[in-house]
Amino acid sequence: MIVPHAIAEVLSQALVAILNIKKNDGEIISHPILPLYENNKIYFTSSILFSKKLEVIRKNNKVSLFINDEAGIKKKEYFPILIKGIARIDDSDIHYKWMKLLHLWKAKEPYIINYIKQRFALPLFWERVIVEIEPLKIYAWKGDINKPPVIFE
Amino acid sequence: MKLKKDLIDYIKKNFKNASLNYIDVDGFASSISVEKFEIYEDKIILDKPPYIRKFSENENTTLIFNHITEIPTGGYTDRRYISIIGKIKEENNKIVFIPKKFYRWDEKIVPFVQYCEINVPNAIRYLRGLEERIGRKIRPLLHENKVLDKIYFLFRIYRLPFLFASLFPCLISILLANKIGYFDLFLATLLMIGVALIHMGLNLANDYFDYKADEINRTPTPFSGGSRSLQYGLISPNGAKLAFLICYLIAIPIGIYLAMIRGLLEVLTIMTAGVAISLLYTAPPAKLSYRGFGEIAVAIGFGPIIMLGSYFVMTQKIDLNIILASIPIGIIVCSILYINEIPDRKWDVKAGKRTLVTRISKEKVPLGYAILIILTYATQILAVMFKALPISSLLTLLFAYMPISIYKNAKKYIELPYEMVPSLDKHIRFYVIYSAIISASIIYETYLPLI
Repeated sequence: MIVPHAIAEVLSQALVAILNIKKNDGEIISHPILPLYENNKIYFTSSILFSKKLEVIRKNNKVSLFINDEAGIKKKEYFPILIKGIARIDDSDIHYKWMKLLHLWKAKEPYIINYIKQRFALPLFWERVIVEIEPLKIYAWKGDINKPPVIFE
Repeated sequence: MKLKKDLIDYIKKNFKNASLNYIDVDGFASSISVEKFEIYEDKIILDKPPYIRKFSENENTTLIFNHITEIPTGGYTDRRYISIIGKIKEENNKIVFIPKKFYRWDEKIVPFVQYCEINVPNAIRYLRGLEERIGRKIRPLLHENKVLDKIYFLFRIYRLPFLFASLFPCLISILLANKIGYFDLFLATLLMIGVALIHMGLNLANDYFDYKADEINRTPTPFSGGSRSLQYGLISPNGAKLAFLICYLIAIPIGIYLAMIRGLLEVLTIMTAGVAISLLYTAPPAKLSYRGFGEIAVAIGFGPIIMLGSYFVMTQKIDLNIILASIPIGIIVCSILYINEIPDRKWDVKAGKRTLVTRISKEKVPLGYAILIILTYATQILAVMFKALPISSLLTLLFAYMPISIYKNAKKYIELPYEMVPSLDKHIRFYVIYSAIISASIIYETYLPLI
């Protein structure tokens, strides 16, 4: 789907989103992640250190991302959004491939470049898997969060 | 489950809002922003937005409290979250959340580096699964550049920066031999290579035999807790065994060659003692470091054994003065081990590795360090009095302020491993300065005698 401009703005600036996935046993796991947005798709990278969520996604690729923290977002552009989408895991090259998203990561966390230079110290943190989320449905609460959201499909 | 009072207080104090996540009719998780909540031991009560569908009894949900503090120049810090898994029901148009279990992270409680360390088993499990899927081994990279990665790999598995600890004693002996007119570049080079190889073998053997103790350790630092090469999947246990055996298999023939040309009985005896100490330090059945003898073994191995052996190879003489000169060097190397054991103290106790710092009360641990430094200087002064070391070597006293500040920090941070890191680093610098001054003083006295 084409992500509306205002939603894309929030996604491009948000520093945190809550990733939710349903496990096989019906429980939901929820984790904060750093969302990266480009060309109507949302990405995040996950170190293999924090790979439990990847195992859950592998079994159920129907995920949602909820942004209800305005950190990083210019106030006039902020409103809570929920994105439902299909996740694809790419671990074909955990050494280097995630670096293609580095420009998006760096825009949100400028200091990350200095940390990468310390790959020697924390090698497993820099073995990273890319998760690409193809949005299917977006809910936006422009205004009161107690009122129904605007839905984009 | 019941939420404990300290957890309730923690949530109230640290989080302003949350999100309640539930499964929508389409099978995707959906979320509600929660800005008001009442939290009790057995439930959390939330407002229900009027547009939300009716929840059935005991629906699976998570309630996640998340916080970051934005940095004005970009990025964020102060990360913390708590994700509570539970069930919900509706009561009087309110959502009643019944907690079942939770997981959390707060970087002020568990520093990021420690959080990573706790999750190493997850990473290794993922790596093994991935290896199985793609049908080949994957070694985590240490640098993006492939050549630098290989160099860093050797640095990491053999802990090459720590070779200072053995090369300085060797160098000091060579310089002392040179002072009385014995110098041979070929022998000196062989000695340095042999000593470095034994030390590299020791480092990796230490990782190999200490595997379980290092795995328990959740707060390793660049100076303690082993190299983590095995824990991080950089090398397999068999690979580590092969790598340390290669070091010994190159070093021992060098030693035998030196024995044949310089003195069979003396060199073989000293070399055998050195190799035995390096292996038995962690290898069964002796496991000297587990029995409280590791520190003395290191003091003897890095002091008298390396120095006497090197001196004998150069001069073919056994001199009381070289033994005297080797004592402060052995003690200062022992102090490196001692101070580096402090961050591992808690984990070594759990692993049954009863190093010296685990055998004394935490209050007395800094005192132990102070005693080692006092002994280093006292035995150095004694060595100077007996002319085993030059008087100018006492310039080392100018740097006594360094261990004083390390001692103070050890008292302050005895139970805070990461806070100890600057002190561990400082102690290594102190050792290098101390050894460099002694080396320089010998060169000075050899070529420009003061007295």
